[in-house]
Amino acid sequence: MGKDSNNNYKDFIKFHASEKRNIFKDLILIWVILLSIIIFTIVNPAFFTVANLFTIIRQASIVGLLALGLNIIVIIGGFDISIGAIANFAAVVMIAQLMVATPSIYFLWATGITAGVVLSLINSAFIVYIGVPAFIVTLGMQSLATGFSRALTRGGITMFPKSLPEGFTFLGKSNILGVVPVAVVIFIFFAAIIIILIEYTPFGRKLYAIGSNSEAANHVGIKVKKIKIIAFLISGALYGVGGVLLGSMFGSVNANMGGSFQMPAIIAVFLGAAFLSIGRPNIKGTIVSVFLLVVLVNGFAMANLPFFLRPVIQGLILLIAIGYQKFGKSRSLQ
Amino acid sequence: MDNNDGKNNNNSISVEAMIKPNVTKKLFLNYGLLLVMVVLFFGFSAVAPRFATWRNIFNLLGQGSIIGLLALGLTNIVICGEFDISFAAIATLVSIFTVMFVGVYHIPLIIAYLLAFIIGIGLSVINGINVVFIGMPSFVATLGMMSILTGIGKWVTKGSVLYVQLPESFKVIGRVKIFGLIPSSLISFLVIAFFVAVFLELTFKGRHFYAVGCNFEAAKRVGISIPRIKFESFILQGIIASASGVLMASLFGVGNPEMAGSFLFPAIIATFLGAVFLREGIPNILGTIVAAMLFAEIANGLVMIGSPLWVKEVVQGAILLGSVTMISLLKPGGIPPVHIG
Repeated sequence: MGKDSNNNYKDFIKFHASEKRNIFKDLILIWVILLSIIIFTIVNPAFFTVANLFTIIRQASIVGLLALGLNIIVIIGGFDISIGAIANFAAVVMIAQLMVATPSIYFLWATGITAGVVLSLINSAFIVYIGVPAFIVTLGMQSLATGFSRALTRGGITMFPKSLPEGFTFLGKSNILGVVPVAVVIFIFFAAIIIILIEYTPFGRKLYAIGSNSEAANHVGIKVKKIKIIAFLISGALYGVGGVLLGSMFGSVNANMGGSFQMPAIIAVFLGAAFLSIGRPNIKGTIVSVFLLVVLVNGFAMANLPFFLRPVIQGLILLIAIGYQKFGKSRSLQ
Repeated sequence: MDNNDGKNNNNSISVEAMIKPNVTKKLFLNYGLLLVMVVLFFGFSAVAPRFATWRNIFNLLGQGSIIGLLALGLTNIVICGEFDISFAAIATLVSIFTVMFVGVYHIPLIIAYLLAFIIGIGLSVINGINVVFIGMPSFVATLGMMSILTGIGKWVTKGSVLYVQLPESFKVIGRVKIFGLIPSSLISFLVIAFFVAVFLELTFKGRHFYAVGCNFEAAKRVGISIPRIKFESFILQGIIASASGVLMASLFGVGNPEMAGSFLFPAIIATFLGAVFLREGIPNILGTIVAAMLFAEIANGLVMIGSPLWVKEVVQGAILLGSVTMISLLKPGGIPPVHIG
């Protein structure tokens, strides 16, 4: 624990001696985003057009919502590998209803978000009450949620509802004032709420306290179990919103759509720790990283790079991101 | 050692339970997997008569041997208190390279196997360096590795399945049926499992693996070098993953980058389900073998009774959650948490 407090002290000094801050190192993610935008524009001028930039931020909104949820879980010292599967299930729940009936869109949104919340609460029940490590529980949930999605889509085929109700694609496809995608507005709305919640409220401080030492947090009177369950509830709702956006963006759904949003979201959370040299997952860094990853994904497609490079680059970024923060600070060697 | 581990943990079992263990309950818990196996066997046979033929039984044991071999590597990592999610990707990449070396470049079999092992061990050593010496959380580090290896696998096979002409000798370790019935993959698996079991259970080094995973602090106090043991467990993981890759190549005869996905969950399940066999919550080789065969039986049986595809996914998720729940309830202290972030 001594190392941690020392780090916090260093952060404190850094923060209050602003002239000593290293602009290059602190904002490294921003420089990388700008650099990659320039490179991709040189390779393919169509990259830097208004239409494509809005496509990028539209994709970023789904990845971003998942990353926000995951970030909360990582702050309390957990992990969630079922995010893609849960978001996918939320989208499937929404669209499967359209195959048999025409409920109102508000009901559809509500059921989608509820699906996310319920699965995430099941995760939290195993983690908090039985004490199973989060990564195994969510691994099991990944399989369960994918199975449920397959069951509802009758074996994983893509479901196209014959007619979508009025306003169904509003969230995913339409723009406010003709330019700003609604999906992005939703993402910014939730990102603002989560930033305020995590950084500026006692609840957020409690989350960090539980994450750094849940035993100590318990001793100072924080209701660890309750806070953990609320954290999972909030993330489940965020996954649910992500799933609702996913469904309304594509208007059709199959059981394997969530997977492509999962890896960028996971990487964003760990990469975000490098932002402002904070050294631990934080919401602002995560949001910046989400944009970086979506720029890369989109740029790779625009530059016609082979598809197999994407997982390779994603994996390398993840390893470099955590290696950069851990180098020389080995936990096993102490 | 079964009962004494948890003494220092605060949610310890009651004193009476430690002094006077309930024998029936203990027997039921320790050998429950075998009971489930038998019950399911009769259940599946009653619904699908084709299930209980010798041909099908050996077929499912052959499938179980791949799951089991992959799970052996993971078991050894989990025993040391770490986790590795890239093992299936390593094995798949090794199998693709083996098929390529022999089928495309016509390298002699022995040298091809040697190269395959060098690749597999090398990849696992990278994992070991990342986790042990750089200090990355093992789950996230191996997740990154899995992503990279999946990409490389798709690159090598150009995104499709690699079909090539392979010599007959290539089939010896995995595809040949001894007496026209017993698959050679089962024999290869049992031979490797025997050596791994002897190593982990009967040698000092193997006991150190358990010591590091069960009580990190105590192991450090008695002078076991933790980084060294963990690094060695990653090397052993590399050896076993390469062996599974070579076996997969021999059994399937193709290089398929999607193979990792279908073996990842079964092997993870075999590891954690195996921990409820014999040792009340501690992963062990014998348990892993039994659990792998049980899982193969369930997967095969579900196909035989004609259940839709999604049932398998729901069942495997439920088994994983059920087995880790049992471990957490049985073993004081539960599964050692893997450090994240």
